[in-house]
Amino acid sequence: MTETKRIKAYGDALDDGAVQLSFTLPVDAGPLARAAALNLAVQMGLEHAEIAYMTPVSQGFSFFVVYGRCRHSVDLSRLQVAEAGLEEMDFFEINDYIKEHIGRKINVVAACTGTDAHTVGIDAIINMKGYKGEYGLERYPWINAWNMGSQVPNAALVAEAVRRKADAILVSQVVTQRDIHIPNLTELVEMLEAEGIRHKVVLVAGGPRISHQLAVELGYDAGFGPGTTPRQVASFIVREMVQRKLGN
Amino acid sequence: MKELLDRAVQYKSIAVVGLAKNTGKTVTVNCLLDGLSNRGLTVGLTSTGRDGEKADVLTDLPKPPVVLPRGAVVATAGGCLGQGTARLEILASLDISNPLGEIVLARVREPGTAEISGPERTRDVQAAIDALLDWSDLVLIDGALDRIAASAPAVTEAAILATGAVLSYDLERVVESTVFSARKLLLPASVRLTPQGAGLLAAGRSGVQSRDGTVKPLPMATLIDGPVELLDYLDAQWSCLLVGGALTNELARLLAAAAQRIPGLEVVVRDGTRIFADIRQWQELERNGVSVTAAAPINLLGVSVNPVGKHGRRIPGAALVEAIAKMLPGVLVVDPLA
Repeated sequence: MTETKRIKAYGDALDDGAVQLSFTLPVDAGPLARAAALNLAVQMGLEHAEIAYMTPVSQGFSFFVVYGRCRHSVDLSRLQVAEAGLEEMDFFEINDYIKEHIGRKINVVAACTGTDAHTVGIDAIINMKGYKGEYGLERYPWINAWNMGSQVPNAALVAEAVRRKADAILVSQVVTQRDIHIPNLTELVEMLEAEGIRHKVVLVAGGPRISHQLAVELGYDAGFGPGTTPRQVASFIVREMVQRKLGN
Repeated sequence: MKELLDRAVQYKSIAVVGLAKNTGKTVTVNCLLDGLSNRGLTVGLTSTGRDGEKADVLTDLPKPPVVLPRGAVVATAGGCLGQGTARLEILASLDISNPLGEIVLARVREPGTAEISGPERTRDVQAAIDALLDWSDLVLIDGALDRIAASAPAVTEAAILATGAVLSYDLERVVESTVFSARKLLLPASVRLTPQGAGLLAAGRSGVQSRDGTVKPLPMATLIDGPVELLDYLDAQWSCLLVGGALTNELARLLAAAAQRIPGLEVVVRDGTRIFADIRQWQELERNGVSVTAAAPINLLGVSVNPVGKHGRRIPGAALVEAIAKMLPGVLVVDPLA
């Protein structure tokens, strides 16, 4: 038996289960809306639920902040988390690894695709100045990196990847309303298949709502969430290239 | 369903692909597994994504389990074995991996549910199908999400297209996108394409073919973003464009414009899975008299329909089946659970 490690949400004291949640209801603010919000919170399993804040947001809609105690707990010992894992190498180790195992500079093409104009994620990974005190891939002597910027159509990204003979393609998706990132990400995979180059590249997705598990489900080799540093991405790319013998 | 099974038994490999998630691919696969094994066939199964897991990784909604009959053979990642109630015996391991582990072949000793996660890249899917055919009579491929690459004729012999209310609660819109997707898969074979042109396409290269059948490869690495220099290679004589990769909106836009000075412009793609142009851009091509054909047509066995939408709301299943069938003469349209 593995040891269980149960935790609850934390407010003022361990295991008090205190949570705060906010939502909008399609009804005018007032006593009826307040009762509806409370009823919903109770159905969600909140004990001692109270409406901390109610405000009209437009005609026929009201916004709520609710406090309550969530009775549910999570057993950390039973959770399985999929991660692109692997030990990370540092800047120097990665360059040495490329030099030794691939023997030429590798080509990485990156873009924020579709209608997405948020480049903060891709810039953190690619641009020279990097992120969290780490250099971006542009600074790596053994990596040629191209950052195509924002609102790049999938077709333009694939074209760039073909022309640059990309070894890896990095896609960033920040805007995820109505799950727009999902068809956009699968379309890219399908285009790479249609062009006959999917098996020749390491395909990586990143963004605030991208988990490794989701990316893999969509047909990517890896997914990286918020807080990812350039060397984590670079470590994955070079190891994957060598494992799949893509360097030749 | 019986008619679909009658058609299915004529092929060695069938991809079940969908217009979206939750269009009932796994339910269709289950019906085929059950029906085909009842006819005494040993069925092989793999998935280009993950199937049979309890909850959807995106929506957390419950998903139907894959139900394996006795004797069936699956190709799945080692990490998935033991996730269901079926008892599996490992036969061999393939030299292919996905992020959940190395892909193994396993035979069903005791029927039950299972989680199947097969190869993701089309190249690996082909290898898995070949390996499965050593142990089975017919292989089914459960597609992932809205990905249809597994239905390319180079990969599978036939395809089934899954659609449903998850696309929209508006019946008309479901019909429109389903019919458009099916028509892309049903793209007719090119009559003009020469063996030399077919060879070029099979290698994934693009080129132009003249009226007398001469084929010239194009120097561009790709046509995917509609490069303008392509226009230098097209004229009344060289009026047949062979597209080795994707036919996108960008390329279609360029060709629709070019068609105004090149009567009878024909575009040959490798197969229907290479078309990414949307319905508007497609109509624009048609209006300008461009004919789009395929080097290899896809055997679309049928369309399966799931009338239940994302949040459990239904649209009328029989009406949906009828409306799609009316627009796609000759194509079998079924609701597997009706």
